[in-house]
Amino acid sequence: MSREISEDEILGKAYDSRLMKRLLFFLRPYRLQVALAIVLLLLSAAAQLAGPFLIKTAIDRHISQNDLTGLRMIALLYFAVLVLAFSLAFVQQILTQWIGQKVMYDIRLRIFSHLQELPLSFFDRNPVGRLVTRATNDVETLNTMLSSGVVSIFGDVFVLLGIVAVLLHLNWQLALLTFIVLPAIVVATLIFRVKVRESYRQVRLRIARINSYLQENIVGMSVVQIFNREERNSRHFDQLNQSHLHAYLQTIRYYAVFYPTVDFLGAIALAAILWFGGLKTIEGGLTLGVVVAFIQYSERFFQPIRDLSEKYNIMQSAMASSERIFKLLDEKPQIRIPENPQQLPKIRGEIEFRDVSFTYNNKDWVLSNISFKIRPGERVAIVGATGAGKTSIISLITRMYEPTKGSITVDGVDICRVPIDDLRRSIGMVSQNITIFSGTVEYNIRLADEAITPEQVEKAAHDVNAHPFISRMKNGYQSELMENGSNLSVGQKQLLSFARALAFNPRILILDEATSSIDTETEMLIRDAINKLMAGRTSLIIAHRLSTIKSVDWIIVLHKGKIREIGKHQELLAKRGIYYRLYQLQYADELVQ
Amino acid sequence: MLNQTSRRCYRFLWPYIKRYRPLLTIGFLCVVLASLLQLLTPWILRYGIDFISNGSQPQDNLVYHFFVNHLDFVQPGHFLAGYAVLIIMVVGIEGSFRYLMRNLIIGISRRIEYDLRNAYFQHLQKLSQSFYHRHKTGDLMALASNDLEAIRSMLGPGLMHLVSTVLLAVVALWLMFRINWQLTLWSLVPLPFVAVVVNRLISRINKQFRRIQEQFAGITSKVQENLSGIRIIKAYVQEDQEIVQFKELNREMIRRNIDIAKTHATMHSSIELLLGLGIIALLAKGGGMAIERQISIGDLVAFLVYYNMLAWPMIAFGWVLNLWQQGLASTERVVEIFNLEPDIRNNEQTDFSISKINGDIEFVGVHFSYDRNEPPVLRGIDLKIAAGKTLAIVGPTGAGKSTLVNLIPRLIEPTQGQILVDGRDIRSLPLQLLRENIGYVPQETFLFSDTLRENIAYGICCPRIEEIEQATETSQIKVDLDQLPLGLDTMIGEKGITLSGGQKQRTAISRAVIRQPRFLILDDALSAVDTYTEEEILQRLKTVMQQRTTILVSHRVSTVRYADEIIVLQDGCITQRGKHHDLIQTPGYYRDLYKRQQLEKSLEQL
Repeated sequence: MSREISEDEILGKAYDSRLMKRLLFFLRPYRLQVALAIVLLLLSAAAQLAGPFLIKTAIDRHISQNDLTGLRMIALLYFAVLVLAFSLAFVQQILTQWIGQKVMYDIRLRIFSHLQELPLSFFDRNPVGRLVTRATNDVETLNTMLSSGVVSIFGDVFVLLGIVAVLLHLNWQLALLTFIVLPAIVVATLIFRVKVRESYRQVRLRIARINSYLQENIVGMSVVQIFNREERNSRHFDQLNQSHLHAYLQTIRYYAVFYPTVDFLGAIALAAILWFGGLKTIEGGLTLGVVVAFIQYSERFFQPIRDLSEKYNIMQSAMASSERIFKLLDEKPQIRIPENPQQLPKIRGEIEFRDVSFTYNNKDWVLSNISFKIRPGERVAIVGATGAGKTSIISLITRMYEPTKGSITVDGVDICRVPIDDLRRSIGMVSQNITIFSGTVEYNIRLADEAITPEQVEKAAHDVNAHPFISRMKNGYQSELMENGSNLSVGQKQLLSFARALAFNPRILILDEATSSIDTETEMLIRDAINKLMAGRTSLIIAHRLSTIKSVDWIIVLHKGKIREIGKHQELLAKRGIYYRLYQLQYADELVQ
Repeated sequence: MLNQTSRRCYRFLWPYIKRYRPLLTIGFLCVVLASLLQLLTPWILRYGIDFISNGSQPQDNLVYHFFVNHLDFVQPGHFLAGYAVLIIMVVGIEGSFRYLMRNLIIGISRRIEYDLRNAYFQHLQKLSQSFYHRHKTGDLMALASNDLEAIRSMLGPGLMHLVSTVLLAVVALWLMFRINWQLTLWSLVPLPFVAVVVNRLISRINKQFRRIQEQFAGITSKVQENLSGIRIIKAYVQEDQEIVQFKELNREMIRRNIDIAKTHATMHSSIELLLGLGIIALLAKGGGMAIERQISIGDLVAFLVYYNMLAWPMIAFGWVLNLWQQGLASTERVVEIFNLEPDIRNNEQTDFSISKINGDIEFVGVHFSYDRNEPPVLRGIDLKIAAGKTLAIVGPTGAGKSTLVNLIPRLIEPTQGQILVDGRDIRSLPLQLLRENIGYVPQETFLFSDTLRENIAYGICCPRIEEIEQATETSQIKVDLDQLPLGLDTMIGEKGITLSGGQKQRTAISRAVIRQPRFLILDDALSAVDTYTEEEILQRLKTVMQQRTTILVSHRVSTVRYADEIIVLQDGCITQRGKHHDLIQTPGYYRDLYKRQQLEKSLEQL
């Protein structure tokens, strides 16, 4: 958690042209809409500015001239402008949101699709939580920038320029006089921005310290209590807490000075308009309406300046988010269809490893010089101690990872030259950590493959003994399962994953038996199911059950990444080597029972 | 509105507020004064405009008399300059009040937050492990950040804006009525509709916002599930279908976002429209009145300014109410935690005359369960360890070994049965004394992000160099010090370097032995060190252990074999007890464990 904080702490520039260019690329499909939104924004800014101008006209042309009909006309015109502004703003806001949402949709989909293409080694390096943040929170930050940041910056600038133009048009001398306070406001805002940004940085830093100290104490509370640290830690916490408080009080002080300062400068402008404008009016060089219009415009003048500075933070965090998103999108995907792909014929199910070596990190060899050949329809078990490299072998067959050296063939074809989807479709995989998706039982068996009929789902469940417990559930195959299958027992989850493998009817079965202990009754069901799964398929099994190793054709003994022994159960036992010891260690308990 | 729960919340908050009563009173006085001065500006403007429009002096006002009689104003320029200076002065004084107001009210809300956070931290330290068993760290953290912040927003900006908006609205209305009551009524017609629109649409926005949050959560868990199951998805070639499903969620997300955008747009535009209608009413009706000389142009301009001032309270009020509701909901959550009485502490049973512990310990028929509804973790434990002896506990994961040793420092209390220290009930010992005498190495080594030295000396104050020296020697962490950039002063943990599992465990052992405790508890404390180092450490610990009552929990026979007594804990019960050479001859868990580890050892050597 705190790592995430510190990562988000690193905020760089508020504008980065390289990142902006890439972001603009996502806007391209909507360039017409963007253009329209900008035009609407311009028009609605203009409509907003019309108000004081109309009041000026009313005062000068009609009220002062006692022209009641004209006044009514102006009121009507005001109404028309108001309705126009209302409609323009309405359409503009919705259009802007629409564009923003479409872009977010595209970006989110790009991230998700991209994640699907990345090789497994990427997921080993990157914790799931952080990747989820990319597709969710980071995209939201971009959304904030797109829908409120950028657009309102445009809007603010338009309004500002519009006011300047109108004031200059009404009376350039008075306008210039009003602008006198402008440099002061800009300077005040800039100083305030710099100061407040620094003190907010301090606040964030110190709250992060408080949070990590608090978290540490909550997690390690038993240590705190046993070592009698309560008082000393309270004192330390108080210090952290105080330094946070002081940083905040500093921020409050800046705000407390800034807002009145801007108001004060505004009052100076107002006073100047009243004094000089008034004098000129009395002398006859100006009309009263112009003075009133100046007063009204000057009120609206300072708001955009204040707002513009607020947008800085939004831009800054959006840049940081897009930087992270693009970094993810720049990761190289795994190539799913090789050049000159070779089609797999109707698979028979022969697997051969030729001198395969494998390392995750180019340092420690997980597998070295593995060679073996499984003939179609054979059942083979891999046994070995923890860390012997069993799981790596089966990951290589489905190309979850690529061998560092050597080659793997299926029916004589190098698996690197086959489209990855074709390869994986012909292999059924049951892993030790069973994945249950939130959805119905049926969905968990057939996944999103509509070609598998409900009858086939039920048959598969039947064959692996999952049917009885499924039919006992309230809605049978339509019962909703929770994420991770938390409403199923360990044994039920295993049976369900068997049904999944069977429903896809693969030629090759790869099974990583789960080690968890299960009650005897379920154990019998699982044994039976495994036998049915293996029937008529080339099967490669990481075996943890005595019954499994006894029912396979031959066994590969893996030790420290090398094949040390190969043969049938009895032969290997007779050797009294590694297998013999592993057998005693892993299977002897079962033998006693 | 003031129901039972909110009354309880206010009663909880009152002492925290009371501390700052004098300053807060001044703060709110500043709010009142600033708001009143803010309302004065348009009034002055009104005189100014009237002066300009008539070209002469309207003689019915105080300011005029003051100017003419005391300041000798005669030229029109003098009058205008006077009004201008007056405006600047009023805004200047208003500004100083606003400065004070922010510093006092918002500042005090931060101080209250600070007080609450300290109180929260101290309270957390008093609660026992059964509390931490029930509450997730994330929730407790959220309370300290989100909930305290919500309470602060209620007490600071919430209260400040509530007072200032109400005051602004009431006084502005009163002033408008004074200028011309008919025109006031005319211009006011749209305002209630603003409040209605804001109120209506805010509740719709809240509802739509919740729907977005739900969808957002849906997307998050979809991505989470997809990535956690990526291996299966790849193995079953489900990537494209996953993308299709994600698209659907994504599409729904933008649909809901556009829904809320529509409501937002409707709200903002309607507010603008309604406010605009009020201005039109002012223009048409007020302009007509000005033509008929019922009001002056200055009145009209003042009206326009006041009208704009009124619009803000209408919008802000909904926002302030929202702050208030959230603040109360958060207070409720905080009160709930604060109301929990610490269950393990000194009480009337405590005998403060006890100042020394010898080190005998006895468990008599001890049962324990974390929750009445959960099955017991320990059942009928009977044990007796004489001072200076060593007890070892072995058994499968989840058998209750850690729970058993956690009873000794009273991190938890037996639900049934009794624990005696030196023949006295453990509850009669002062808690601090008991814990002072325990050196504990927990199963999951927990070190704090601080220097190595601070971590080792965690349980004592002002450590002497020799003490640290000796502790690092015993745990063999000393050997590694050369590899660390700053030796003992190296920062470890989050902000420093990451120690290996074995280094962490050895640091934790130093931390325990430096206290020179009567009891030494090692809960699987050597699992991450290699067998050679284990041997070294055990060798050194042996001297330390001789003078202390030691409890060793371990999975390794090599660790426990020399203990005075070994017990096997299975499913919360003691199933075997005895010395190593007896146990390896009796069929059962211990003998199996012993054989297994011998086999593993021989396999490792192949």
